[in-house]
Amino acid sequence: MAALLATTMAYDVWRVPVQVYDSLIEILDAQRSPSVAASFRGSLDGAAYLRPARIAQIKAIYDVSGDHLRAGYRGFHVALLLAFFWLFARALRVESGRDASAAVFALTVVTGLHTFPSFMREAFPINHFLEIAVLGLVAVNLAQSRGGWWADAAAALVFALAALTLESGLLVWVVVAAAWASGFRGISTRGVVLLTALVAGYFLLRLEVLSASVPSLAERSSGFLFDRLEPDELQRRFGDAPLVFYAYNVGTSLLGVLLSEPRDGVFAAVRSWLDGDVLPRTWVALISSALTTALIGWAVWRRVRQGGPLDAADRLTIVAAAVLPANAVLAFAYTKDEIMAFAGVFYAFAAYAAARVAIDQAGSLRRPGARAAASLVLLTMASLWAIRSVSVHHVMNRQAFRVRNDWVGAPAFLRSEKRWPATPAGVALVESLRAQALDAPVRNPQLVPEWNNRWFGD
Amino acid sequence: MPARLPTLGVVLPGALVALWSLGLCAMTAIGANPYWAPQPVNISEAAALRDAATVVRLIGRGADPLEPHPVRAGALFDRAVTVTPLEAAVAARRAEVVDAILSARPPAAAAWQRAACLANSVPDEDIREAVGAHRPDGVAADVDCAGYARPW
Repeated sequence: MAALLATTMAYDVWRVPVQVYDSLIEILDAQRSPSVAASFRGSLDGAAYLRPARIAQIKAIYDVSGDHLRAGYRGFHVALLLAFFWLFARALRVESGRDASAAVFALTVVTGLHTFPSFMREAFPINHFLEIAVLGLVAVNLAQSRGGWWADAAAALVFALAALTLESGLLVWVVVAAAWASGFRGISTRGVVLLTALVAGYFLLRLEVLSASVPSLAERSSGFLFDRLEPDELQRRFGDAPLVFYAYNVGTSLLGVLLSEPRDGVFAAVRSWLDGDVLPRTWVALISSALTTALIGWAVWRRVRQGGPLDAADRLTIVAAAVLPANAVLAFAYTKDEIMAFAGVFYAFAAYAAARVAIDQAGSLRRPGARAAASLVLLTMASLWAIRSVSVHHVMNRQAFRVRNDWVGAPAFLRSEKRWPATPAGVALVESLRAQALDAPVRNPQLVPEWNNRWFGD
Repeated sequence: MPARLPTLGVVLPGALVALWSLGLCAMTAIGANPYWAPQPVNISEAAALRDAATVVRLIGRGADPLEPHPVRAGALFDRAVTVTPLEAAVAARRAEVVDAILSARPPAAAAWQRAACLANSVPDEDIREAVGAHRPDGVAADVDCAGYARPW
């Protein structure tokens, strides 16, 4: 199942042209940079963020791709996606028919959760959210391994790469520490201490390189209750009490993963309900997430009451319990579904463990009516997740249509940003990517029956 | 079997997703992936359906943006109509498509004046701005549209 999902979703990613916004300028910068090392160093000069590995990777793929930039960047995205599915499925440690059934469910949860399209939809020109998730899954697999010095060293490398790519890379440390605390010993105590030292080193480097340690309210718009607030409005409302805004972001980020509402900090489903037009896909998301989160809570309660030694699935739930709030804390400055995509993966791990408990418990019910009722609830929940999982293809088609049309206005965009390339090579690069995008055959979502848009989407 | 009901409840929907994915692989192999197989459209339909990229591609391949083409029922109106790409874009109120058409094939004076009259016939400031931005040098901004009737 993981291989089938990976294949079809990788094909979706492959069909999307390289995007214009948050991507083309980065590629042009990579073209101008003399080397990967120069890109790495250059990103540290006067930077607002400490993400040198991100810039270095964009340059490395640019150099490797030659004249095949679309293939290079999309190929890397596809490779990350395939690695994601392989590592996720591997971490489940399926050993029985019950495990396999729960794993099938977990795969629909991880792909169906509204945060998952963040791994596929956009690339900058690399999808670093997906990359960090893959590195997090590598850490889980290392923690589950038999261990040794190589596992500790690999964990340190994985952490360094993740932390220097995006701030959410710090979650790799949370994964490693929680995995160790839960009883996974593939990464040894020495390894955990080493990673903790690297975390301290990271913050020292941040203080050294970056002048501002906390993003200000004036940097970007953010969701609050039923609307998105522009920076000046955020400043007006929370300038004197930013902690209130930060607490809102942390709380809603966590709630968003558990209940699929709010989205990007906005209570969109509640707003739709007040407007009297809740789309079927919104109900699908709310009900599936509410049922699954309730199932996870019930399964945890059962396991705690039952006692006994922890198995691998229990440990994954413990790691998830650490990652979810930690990821939400990282979203304190502004909340966005993409930032919580990492936690979404671990939510699916917890769903896997809960499904195993549910299969055991419901199967052992003596009254046939009770067993049938429990089975019906499980069937309903799993069916809703299946609808959400299938939605990914629909979302990607719409994204490809959008990106392809963005290329029509790309020259005007670059000129308005005063980034139209000054060299013939730069102009050729823009024209080549634009021609490829315009030539890409993409189905027009306007020709799809309207019910598709009501039922499928993120 | 009854003891396996919960297992079935958990696994059956996911198994159907896997089956659908297998079907998608097979359909992709024969070029019939329902999410990606493009439906053929002419340049006016592309303009009506907000597909500026296809409009620009077709103009680049020699399509005449001043030539009318049939637009299927449901794309613009309940009935099928025959309109030029520019008329389709204006009818759909897509200023970015209007801009794409006029950028891809800058209009001569007479064509721009017709476009301006077309833009003035709909209550949409963005459309008027998009047309106005492509006014040829030496052509007056004020256009006499007496006698002009939009084609829908």
